[in-house]
Amino acid sequence: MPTLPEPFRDLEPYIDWSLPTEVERMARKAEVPMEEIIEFHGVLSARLEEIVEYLNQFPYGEMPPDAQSLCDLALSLVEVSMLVEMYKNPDNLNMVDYERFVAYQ
Amino acid sequence: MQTRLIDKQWCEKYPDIGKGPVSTEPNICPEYFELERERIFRRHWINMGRVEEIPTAGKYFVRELEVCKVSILVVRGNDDKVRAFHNVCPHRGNTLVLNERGQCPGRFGCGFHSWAFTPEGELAYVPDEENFFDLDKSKLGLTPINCDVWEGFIFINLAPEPNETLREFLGGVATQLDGTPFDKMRLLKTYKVKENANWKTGLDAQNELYHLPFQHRYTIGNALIMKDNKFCRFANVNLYNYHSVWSCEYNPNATSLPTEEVMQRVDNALTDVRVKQRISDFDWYLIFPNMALLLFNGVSGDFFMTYNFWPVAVDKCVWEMRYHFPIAENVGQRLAQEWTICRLRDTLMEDAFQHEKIQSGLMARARPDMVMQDDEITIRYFHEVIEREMARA
Repeated sequence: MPTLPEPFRDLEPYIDWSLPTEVERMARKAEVPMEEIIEFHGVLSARLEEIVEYLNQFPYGEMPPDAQSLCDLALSLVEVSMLVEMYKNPDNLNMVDYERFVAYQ
Repeated sequence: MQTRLIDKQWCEKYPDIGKGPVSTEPNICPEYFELERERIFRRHWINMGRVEEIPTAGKYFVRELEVCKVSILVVRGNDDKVRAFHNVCPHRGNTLVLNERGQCPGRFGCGFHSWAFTPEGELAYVPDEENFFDLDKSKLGLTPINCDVWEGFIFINLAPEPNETLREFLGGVATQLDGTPFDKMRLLKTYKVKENANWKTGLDAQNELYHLPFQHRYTIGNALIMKDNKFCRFANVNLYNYHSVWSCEYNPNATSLPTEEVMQRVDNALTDVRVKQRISDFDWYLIFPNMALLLFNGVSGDFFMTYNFWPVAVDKCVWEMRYHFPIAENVGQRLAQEWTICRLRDTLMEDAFQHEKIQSGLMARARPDMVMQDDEITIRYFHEVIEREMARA
């Protein structure tokens, strides 16, 4: 179970969003009900500036595990942000199934 | 470059380009596809990737060019030269390298009888050599494929003797983009999607902005759509011997999304790579036959993308999308890049959905042709070039 850096311990209830790969983040976005996505987005986006400032002390790729977990959490915010802030309703979108759209890092 | 909303201006700039309907046959006819294998894909320079993928001696990648039924080994030699070979052991035809990419451990060894080849393609070792008849190892190196590099982009040409050099083939595109700092950016993300669509159907659908306010109304919003240019007309169009480019401006009054706004604010060290070769905010090159090169003015700094549409069958292709960004110096920059990738990705997922719907519509043969407006000129031109090249016996 990953843990978050001390100043962000209050975000632990959202730790299931701390996913290391884009494929996992896309899958979670597709599976979780919209209300839950909106709640996660609301909580995380209020802390995003603070998160980025904290993470900026590390060179990318050289973060300790708890900072990496926080970074993965922020990446999930990035993943859902367009849906919440712009598209609103996933039913509006005609997209190819995410499982067919294969990501390679 | 200022967008000038003059009706039918591209047609006036290029009066030799037709204005009538464009046949759907090349996108749906199996016989046409069979001929494309030879006349399009075996005769022209085809992009394989970039030199940064194989930065040091012995690094290699393999591309399966399904449309030509060839496996291509691209490798950097100990002399630093990038070469391409048929990925085939000259002994009895076995596929030589099975990994998609990697580091040659001194020699490429064939899994069948351990014949071994240098990264420069020479045959170095044959087990039980004495038992062969007049074996001349100098004539049994890997079969080379014409290979050349322009601004870090690796191209191959399967013609025994190409009609023109890569430089001649690229022509005005090379002139426009010489010196672009592509080498200051790195491949950050690749997406691949197997589509039930002809390779040109996908490429055509990407080769205009007319669809943007409609198909992408939820995903792009007001980033490009402007009050005084509501149909996303181009700021510029250039046609070259084989290729084309259109350019557009961003909406200067677009409002940032909340997460984007935070990224912009905290991203104090915006990457400083600037592409002065850009014609407008966003340039979209079609590099004949199956590649697109996209240059962006981005919120996290300039970046570029490539598309390769890999034909598989008349109604099947693989769309490969690659994002290249300046190397991030901190997490904030990296998150901003990821935001940019995600935002574009969602529109590309809409596009992939659409490509298949277009293909099935075309294959219904409800109409024999497609009608195109002035801002679809680059699609029309692409089809003219395809027809021209297909007519060469």
